Amino acid sequence: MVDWGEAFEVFFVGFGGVVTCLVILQACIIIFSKIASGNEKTGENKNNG
Amino acid sequence: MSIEIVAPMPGIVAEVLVDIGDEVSTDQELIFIEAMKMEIPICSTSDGKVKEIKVKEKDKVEADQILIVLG
Amino acid sequence: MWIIGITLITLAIRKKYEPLLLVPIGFGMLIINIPLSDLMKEGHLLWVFYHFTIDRWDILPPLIFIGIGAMTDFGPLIANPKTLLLGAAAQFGVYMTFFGSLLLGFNLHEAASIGIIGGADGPTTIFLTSQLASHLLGATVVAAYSYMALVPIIQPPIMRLLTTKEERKIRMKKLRNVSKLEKVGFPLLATLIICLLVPNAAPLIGMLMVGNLFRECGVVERLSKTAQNELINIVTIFLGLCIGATMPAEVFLKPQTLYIFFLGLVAFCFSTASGLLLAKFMNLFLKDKINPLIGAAGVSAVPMAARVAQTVAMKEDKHNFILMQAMGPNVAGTIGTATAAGLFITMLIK
Repeated sequence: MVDWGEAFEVFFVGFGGVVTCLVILQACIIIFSKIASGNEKTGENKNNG
Repeated sequence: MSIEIVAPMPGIVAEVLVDIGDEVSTDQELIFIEAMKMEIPICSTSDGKVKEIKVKEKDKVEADQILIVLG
Repeated sequence: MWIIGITLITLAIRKKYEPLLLVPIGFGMLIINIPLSDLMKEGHLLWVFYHFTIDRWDILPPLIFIGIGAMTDFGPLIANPKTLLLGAAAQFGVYMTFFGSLLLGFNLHEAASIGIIGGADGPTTIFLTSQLASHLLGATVVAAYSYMALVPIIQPPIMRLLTTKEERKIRMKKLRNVSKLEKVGFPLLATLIICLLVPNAAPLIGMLMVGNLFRECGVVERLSKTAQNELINIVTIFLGLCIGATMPAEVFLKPQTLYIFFLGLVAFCFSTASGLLLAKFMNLFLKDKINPLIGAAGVSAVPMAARVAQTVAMKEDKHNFILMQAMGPNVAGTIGTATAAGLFITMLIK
């Protein structure tokens, strides 16, 4: 017999985990992009100078 | 008045289907651009005459680069 | 089995269905079913390849991922990080199919391996199945690659069913340019986050990202070229042959193989649908509407699913170009499926 308890656990942890992971990754990319674009401007100045 | 047909995405010009002086109509396919191994037809946005072709086959194009000028 | 093997080779040659994989797989199937050739007996040629590179240590799928990483441009994803959510939503099909398989009488390990077909990611399917249910390896992998080849046939009806004409006509803003710093930072960031959260996804995600770092950092072009060409080609040869060789008639010709093919199709449909539906749901909140068709590209199958989205969109409006936007969920799907595989391993191997 299938252990449905475990099956649901796999589903919730699994699907929830994937979503959580990618949401966190998304947040980090947004933050990183902001920082990176800030740096870029100062970086360009240095290169030009 | 001239109308510019621009590349919607970076890619490689696969085929140019029209010549200078051709009459073209709206939605007619003008150029094929290859991106992600897919050939995408770029269609005319209006009726007109081909005034200038700025690219040739195998050219690399950037997004927003002008491909064809209609007059 | 000879017939199936030759059919696969024929399909690959005539219809160009994933020829890089189906040719070696078909040949592997053929040669393993020749009586007395014994290539899969302990100590013989294909057994050695299979045993050491897939069965025992599972190293070939992560090696393929180095190549995929080196070939993938994550730019569209970085420019529009929202699309990561679509890549995650498309994994829903994986879990639906997981339940479906349980209902049809497969055990938890087998069900996970069948569900992952819905991620439309060959190497990940191999990676997970060989660890959880290696007796199903042949069937799940052939199902995954056949359906990936059939994406242009499976997806469009679902896409038309679940979206309105107006939605398919939505034009999306051009993607912004992504700086080099962001592109180099992305593989590092993604590795850190995903591997910290799901350590068991590290073999796949780590290799994917190191390949991508080779590509983007700009100073190791030689490594990047090798990963994109020689490395992935060599690995594909062995991977295909070994997978084919796991299908002797007595293992493959069983009703459960048919179930797996059926469930794989279900998985693909659910993944496509859930990507589309999440995109429609997100549109309720977003100012810059997204075209729901790119949600369907959340099943990985890079770049086929993105091309399908473009084709369907262009049928409604010849001037609508969503190919690059669709690459976002598309590559996100790869990350999502690999993460899902890592989580299955975490939960099921104790």
